[in-house]
Amino acid sequence: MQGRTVQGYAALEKIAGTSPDLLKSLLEGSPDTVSVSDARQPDLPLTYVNPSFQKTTGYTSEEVLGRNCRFLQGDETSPDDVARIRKAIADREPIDVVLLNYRKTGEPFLNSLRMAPIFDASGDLSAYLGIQRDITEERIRAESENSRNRLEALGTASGALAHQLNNLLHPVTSLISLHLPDIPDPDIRTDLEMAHYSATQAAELSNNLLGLSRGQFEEDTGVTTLPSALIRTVDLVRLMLPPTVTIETGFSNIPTDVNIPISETMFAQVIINIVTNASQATKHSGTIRIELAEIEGSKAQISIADNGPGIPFGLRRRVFDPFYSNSISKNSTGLGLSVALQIINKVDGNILATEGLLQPNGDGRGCMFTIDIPTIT
Amino acid sequence: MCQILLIDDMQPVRHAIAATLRKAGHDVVEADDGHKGLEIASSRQFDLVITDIMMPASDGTDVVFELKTRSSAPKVIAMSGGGAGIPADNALQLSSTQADAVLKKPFTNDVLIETVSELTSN
Repeated sequence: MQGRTVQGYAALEKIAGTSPDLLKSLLEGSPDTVSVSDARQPDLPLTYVNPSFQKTTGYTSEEVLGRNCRFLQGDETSPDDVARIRKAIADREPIDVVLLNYRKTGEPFLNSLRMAPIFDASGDLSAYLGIQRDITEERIRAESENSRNRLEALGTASGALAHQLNNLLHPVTSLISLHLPDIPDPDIRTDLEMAHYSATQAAELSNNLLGLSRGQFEEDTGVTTLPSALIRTVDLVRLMLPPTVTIETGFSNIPTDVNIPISETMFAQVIINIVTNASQATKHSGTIRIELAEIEGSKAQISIADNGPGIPFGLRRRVFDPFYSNSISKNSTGLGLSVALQIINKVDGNILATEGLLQPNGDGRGCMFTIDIPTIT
Repeated sequence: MCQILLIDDMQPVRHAIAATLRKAGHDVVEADDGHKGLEIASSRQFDLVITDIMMPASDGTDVVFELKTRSSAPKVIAMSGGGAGIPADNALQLSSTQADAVLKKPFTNDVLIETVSELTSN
């Protein structure tokens, strides 16, 4: 009996004999999506989907029975994943695969699919069983957790590095400035002044690094103070992006410090994700303008505008959908903006996409993301 | 001119601070850890002791507290840039209750000289 687990089958037969409804209820009540395809018909048409299938995909069973389930695939579904499924079917092997599928609304979701060939009592291949789970939310949480861990590790490493650098730079600046007045030759003095200037700049950079580690080491109070935290985060972003990107800032619209109810690591994640997205939009060669304002004394508003190709009006809400991207690549998870919106929504804030900076050719406008966060009063 | 004991485990940093103090006309004795510093401080009288706080062999906070329990205690400056995971303010917190002044690293030569002369002017 090929591929058939005999053990346990007897128990199943008993259930089938005494309470056949239970078997049906198991399938119908399963939180995971269960689908069955007929292996005896050409192109493996679906012969059963449980209610969870409709909940996840938006298709009713009437709409899908008799069709091959490839209608769930779409533009961004990886051909490699599809090829793996095909090969498993050809080899009559089970397969585990995570692939991008699309709901009836066109909304992409990440589908964790397990598929197995089912053999009947005489050992003939009769069906394919598909168990599926929408793991989009799970992936967003994991992505958010990953970047939080990365930021914390970066904070720890940069803090340690900054202390070492400061200790090394202190003698440089101190000794040069100590002896500079005694140098009679103006040319040598100019050279040493240049060396002193460079060492001072390096010390400043090192202090910026040190700033990154603040808020990480302090107990996480869940409060972030603006503009100082924004200045630190933008310093970090500058280090992360290629130097071909121009970042302009306007933080002077805030008269005093403003507190927002979010931890600095989470806040940094939001800013980094949006600025990175803006940089990608300009192909890392445009201008990004970041501004901070206080609205009606109850909201902090941060706008991040770029001069990239912009987003057509009708699509501006959809950029926050998971995997909404025309360029999911190795460097981009397609989740950056979804993660940012989720973090901000959690503190009763919002992010809106509107028109940004004038494009370099003067034709149109790039994109602007405006983050509103309620302040703590 | 003052008699100054300088305690810091980082030789280049200690050298730079000592050079700055000497150029300002002070006599400087150097020690590279807290134990040696306290030994030297027991053998002769100093107007001022400047000590780093976070040192591997001995903690500068102990130096500050030990010196301040002695009769005819010298003036004491505690200095620190903090360490990995510890901001300078935290590192200096305890000793600031006993020290006459604290210096957060990095500081400029001017700040150092000014702090020293404020403490030793009378």
